[in-house]
Amino acid sequence: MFHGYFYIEVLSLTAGQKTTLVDQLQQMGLKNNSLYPHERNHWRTRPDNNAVIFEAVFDDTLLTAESIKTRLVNIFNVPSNQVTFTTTQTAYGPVVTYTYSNVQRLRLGIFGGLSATLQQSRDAVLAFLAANGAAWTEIL
Amino acid sequence: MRRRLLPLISKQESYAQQILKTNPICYWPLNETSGTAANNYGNLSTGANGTYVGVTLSNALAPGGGMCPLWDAVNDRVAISSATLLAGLNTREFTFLVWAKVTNSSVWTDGVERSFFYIGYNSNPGTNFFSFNKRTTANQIQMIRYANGPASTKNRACSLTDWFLYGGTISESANQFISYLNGVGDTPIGTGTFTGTSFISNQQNIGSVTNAIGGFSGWLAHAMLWDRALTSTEITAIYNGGL
Repeated sequence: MFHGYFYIEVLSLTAGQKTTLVDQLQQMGLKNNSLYPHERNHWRTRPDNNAVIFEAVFDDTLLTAESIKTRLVNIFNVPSNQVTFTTTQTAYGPVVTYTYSNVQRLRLGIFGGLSATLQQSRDAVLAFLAANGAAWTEIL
Repeated sequence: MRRRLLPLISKQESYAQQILKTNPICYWPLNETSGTAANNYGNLSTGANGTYVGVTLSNALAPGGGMCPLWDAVNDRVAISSATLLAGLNTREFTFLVWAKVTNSSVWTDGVERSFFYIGYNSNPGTNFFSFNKRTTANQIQMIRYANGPASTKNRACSLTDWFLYGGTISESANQFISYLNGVGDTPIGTGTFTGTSFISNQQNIGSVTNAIGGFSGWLAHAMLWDRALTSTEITAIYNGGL
């Protein structure tokens, strides 16, 4: 179980593929009927609509690199070995980049990593937002 | 000799009772301990209930008693859009107040616009809206209303790390736009003429602008709306009641 924040960034998906993936991720969460709103799946969409930060109490087995790969395989409807991924460690946690047909398609970042506490994950996402404020913040 | 006896128990008015006596159209105490309904006790009643999205309920003691939620500055908000609010909100004679406390002093210098309260109107974003927010400029808060394009804006210095009461009044009939911080109003400016008639989807929030962008970092309590411009005396009384 992981109560924390993760994000996806669409690098190259069709609008339909993106909608399918985001809809699936919005349904994730072990406590979406919780009495406590912070435990339910809720999200923030980047103003360009190509990245989303989710927070909820998640089944951590559904947020592994392999598990998200399986979702992409199903979305692309291709053999499993045609979707590959690489994992890098960043200051904000592990980031996985998925490639299909020699094109990077999706980035997944787990803020603080799947072992992080909620506060550790929050600290990581706040640092990420501070470093990427221009893209994520709407200035009026 | 007869002795006059004082009542043994004096009946003390609660802060909520004090607020409700001023007839707000919306009063969201934000004191729920569970669930997603942010109940409205103002005159618009339950039709203007808000919805908690992501906030951590009952996280800190609020001014005037009771508990209040924490906004995480990432993706939390209280969504207040409703047909009842749209119909009942007087965009031309208006007061909004909320108690706020930032997570820590660094919030005042983080360079991010963080919203206390935002209401966006019409299909053309940015032409008609109300915003009470912390500015990207360090140590400043802002009350702003775009009225069919032109803006009335009041920026004020603020770097408080304890609870403070922020808000303001708008009166088109008096052509006065006044922000209030801890019961103290600033110099009035003109209002312009608001023309918004319909809400933009998702842009009516306590503690956020839209899609959780501009999320507040800290605690908010006792969000209040009136369909008139309160007097300075009334606002000072509400401030004092929360101390």
